[in-house]
Amino acid sequence: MSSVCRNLVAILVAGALLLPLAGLGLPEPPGGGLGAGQAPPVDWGNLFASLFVAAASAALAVAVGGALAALLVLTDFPGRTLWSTLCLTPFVTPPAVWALGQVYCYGPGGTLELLLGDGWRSTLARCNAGHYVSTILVLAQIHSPLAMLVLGRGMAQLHRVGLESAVLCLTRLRLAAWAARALRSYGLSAFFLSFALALGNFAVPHVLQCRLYTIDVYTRMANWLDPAGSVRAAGPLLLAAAVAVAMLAWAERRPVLPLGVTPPRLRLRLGRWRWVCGPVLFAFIAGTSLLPMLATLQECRSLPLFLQALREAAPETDSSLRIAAGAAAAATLAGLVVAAWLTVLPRWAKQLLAAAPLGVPGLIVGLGCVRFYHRNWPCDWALFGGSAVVVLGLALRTWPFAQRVVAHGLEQMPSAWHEAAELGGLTGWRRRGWLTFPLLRNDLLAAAVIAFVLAVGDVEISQMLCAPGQGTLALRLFTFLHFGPTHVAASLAALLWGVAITPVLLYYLLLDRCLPMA
Amino acid sequence: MNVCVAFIGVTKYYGSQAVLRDVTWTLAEGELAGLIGPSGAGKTTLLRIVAGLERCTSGRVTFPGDETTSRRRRGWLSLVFQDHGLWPHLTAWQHVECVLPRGGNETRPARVERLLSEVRLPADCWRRRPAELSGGEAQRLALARALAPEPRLLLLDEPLAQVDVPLRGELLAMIRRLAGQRHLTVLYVTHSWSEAQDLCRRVAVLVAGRLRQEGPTADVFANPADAEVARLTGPVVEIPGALIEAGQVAAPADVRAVRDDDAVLVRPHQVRFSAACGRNCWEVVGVRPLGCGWQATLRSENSEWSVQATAPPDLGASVAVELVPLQSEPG
Repeated sequence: MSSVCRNLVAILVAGALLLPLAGLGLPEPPGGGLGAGQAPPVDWGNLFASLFVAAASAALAVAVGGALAALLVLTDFPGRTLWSTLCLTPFVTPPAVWALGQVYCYGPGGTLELLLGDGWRSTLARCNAGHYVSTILVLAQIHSPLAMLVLGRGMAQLHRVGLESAVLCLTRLRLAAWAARALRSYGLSAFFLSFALALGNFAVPHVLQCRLYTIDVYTRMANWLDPAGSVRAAGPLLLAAAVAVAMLAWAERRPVLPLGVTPPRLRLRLGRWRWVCGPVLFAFIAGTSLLPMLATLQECRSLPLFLQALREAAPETDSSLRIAAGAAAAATLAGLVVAAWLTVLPRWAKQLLAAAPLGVPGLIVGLGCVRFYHRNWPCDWALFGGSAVVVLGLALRTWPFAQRVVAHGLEQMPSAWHEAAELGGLTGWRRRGWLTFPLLRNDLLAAAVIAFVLAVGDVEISQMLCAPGQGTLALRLFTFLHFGPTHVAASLAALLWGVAITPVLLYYLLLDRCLPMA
Repeated sequence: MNVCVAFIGVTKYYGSQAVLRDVTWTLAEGELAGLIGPSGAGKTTLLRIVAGLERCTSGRVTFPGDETTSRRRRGWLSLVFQDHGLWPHLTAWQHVECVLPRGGNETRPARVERLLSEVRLPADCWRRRPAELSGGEAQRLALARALAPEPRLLLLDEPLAQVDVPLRGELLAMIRRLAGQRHLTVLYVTHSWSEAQDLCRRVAVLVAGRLRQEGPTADVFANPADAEVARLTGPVVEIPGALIEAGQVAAPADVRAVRDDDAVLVRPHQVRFSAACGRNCWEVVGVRPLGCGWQATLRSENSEWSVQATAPPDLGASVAVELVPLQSEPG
C-alpha cells in the first residue's frame, strides 16, 4: 500500500471515529431539549469534588501500582506472570460490577458487617461523608493495575539504563532516588492516565452514590431530557480531561527503547522477604478482588436463582457478546491503522494524538453519538436504533486503548528489522505477513482483549445509544440495580465478571504472558 | 573499469550538524572496498545513503543503469547491519526463505540449504531463532540473509564488531570467498584497520564527514595523507621532532613521514636499531611485547622515550635509532 493510500485510510478511519464528537458542537435539532431551562445550574462544587477524587485516586493507584510493579517486575518473586494477571482483575472487571462487589462486601449490611458486626462502621462513616473516600478507594483499585502496567514497563527497561551498575555502586537510599528519577516519566504517565480515566468514570460514583460531576452531566441528559444542557455541562469535564491527556503526552515525550540486543535483565533477590511479600500480595488480592467477588456470589442466594437470572438475561448476554466482539474488532483494526499512521509523525504530535481520545469520557462519547446520528441529516445514516451505532460508539471509546497497545508494539520494533526486510525485497503485504503481523500478534490480541473487556462492561455509551427493547448485559445490571431484586443484580454482576475475565485468563493461558498496556 | 557505485559530492546534515561533507568516491564492480574512520565519522550514514535508507542533503549516489530509485535497489544491494537486525520470531531457515527471490533452477528448500551451507552455519542451527544462536552464528545468518536476494552490491556495517579475533579472521576469509565466487562488489565499513587491511584492496578514510584519503590499501598505509589518517590506518610511532633535529634519531631524506605539530609519525617497520653508537646513542631500559611488535623504552643523557618496533633491541644494550624507508608493502 503506498504512503498516500495509507494516509488516506488512516485519516478516514480516524475521521469516522472522531466525527461523532463533532456532534457535540452541532446545534440542537428542533423539538429536542424537552427539559431545557428547567435543569438546575451547573454545580461547580461537584466539578471540584470530581477533580479532587480523580487526583487522589490516581495518586493512590500510582502508589499501589508502583509497589506491585516493583515486586512483579524487578524481583525474583515466583509466579510473576500469574500474579500479574490476577492483579489485573480490577481493571478488566466492569467498573459497575467492581463497585457493586465492594458494596456487597464492605458496604452497609455487607459480608464484613455480617461477620464483624457494625460497631466499626460509625467511625468510618464519619470519614466517608458523601462517599468520597470509598469512591477514591474503588477508583484507585480499578486503575492501580493500569499504573502497574505502565510503571512495570518502565521498570522492565531499567536494566538498559544502568540498573546493574546502580545496584553495585549506590547505597539503598541513592538507589531508590536513582530509580525514582529514572521512572519519573512513567510515574507521571500512570498518574495522568489514571486521572483522566477516573475523571470521566460514571459507573463507580453512580453505584456508590457519590455526587460527582459525571452524575450531573448524566442526569441533565437522562432525567431532565436536556441534551444541549448536558453538552454544555460536559465542557468543563472535557477541558479538565484535555489538560490531563496533554500532560500525559508531555510525560511520554521520550521515545520508547526498541527491542534488540539487550543485556540480560537483573532480578533483585527477595530471599526470605518472599515469605512476607507473598502473603501480603495474597491478602491484597483477596481483600480487593476475592472477597468482593465471593460476596457477590453470596448475594446470588442460590444456584437455581442464579441460573434463572442467567436464563432471563440470555438475550442481553448474546447481544452484549456480539456488540463487544464487534467493537473490539473495529477498535483493534482502527487502532492498528492509526497507530501505523502515527509512526510517521513527530513524537510529540503522535503522543498528543494518541493520548487525546483517551481523555474523552464515555459519557461524552455517548452524547456525541446521540447528537450526531439522532438528527435529520440529508442522508439517512440508518444506524440509530440498531446495534451498529452501539458498536461504533463502543469502538470509539475503546479504540484509543487498542491503539496504545499496538503503537507501543510498533515502537518497540527496531528500525533495522524493517530496513532489512525492505532491502531483502520484502515489500507490501509480504512484509506484513512475514514480519509486522507475527511480531505484533500478541499486541493485537491484547488490544482486542482490552477493547472487548472495556466494551462488554460499558454502561455510559450503551444506555445512550441502545434502542428501547434492545439492551446489553451491563445495561440490564444497571436497570436491576435500581428496580430489581438484589439476587438478580448480583447474578448479573457475577455473569458479567465471568464474561470479562475469561478472555484475560485465556490470553494468559494460551500465550503464557500478562496483558501488555502502555 | 565498470563503476558500481559513485558518490558525487554527497553531503548530509542532521539539523545544523554536518555529518558528511562533499564526499566523492567511486567503487568499481567486483571490488572489495573498505570505508574506515573513527566513531562518529559518518561511515554508517554514508552506507545508509547508498542503501536508500536515508537521503543526502546534497550531492548524489549513482548506480549503473537506472538502479537509482530505492524500489529498484531492493534486492540489487544488501546490507549486513552492525547488530545483525535479525528478526526474533523467525528461524534461521525462515530468515533466508522469506527473502529468496522467485525463480531459479533449484527448488526453494535447496537454495536455502545451499546458502546456509555456504556461510557454514551448522545444520543444527537452521531451525533455531536468533536468540538461540551465538554471535558468530548470528553473523553467518545475517550474511546468508543478505546474500539470499542475490545482490550485486553488499554493504557491511561493522559486521564483526561483536565477534572474537579468531572468528573474525574466519568470517573475513568467508566474505572474501563468497564475494569472489559471486563477483560481488563489497563496501566494508569498519573502524578496525586490521579488518580493512585483511579484506579490502582499496580503502577510503573518512574523518569528521570528510573523505581525507582514498586509494589502494597498501598506498594509504605507506603514504597517509595526514597524521589523523596515519593513526587510523595502522600502528604509528611518534618521534619527537626535536630528537630528529638534534640528530639523536637518524632520518634520511628518502624516509616518508608525516608531521604532526612537534612530532614525526612513522610506521613501526621503519624503525631500526643498530649497534653502532655515536652521537645518537640510547640505552635500552625496557622492552615489552605488543603482540605484533615490541615497545622499547630508550634513555639518553637528558631524555627518555618509548618507541614501537618490529624487531626488539636487547635490554640494557646501547643502540642507535634510525628511520628507514618502507621496503615492502605490508598490505
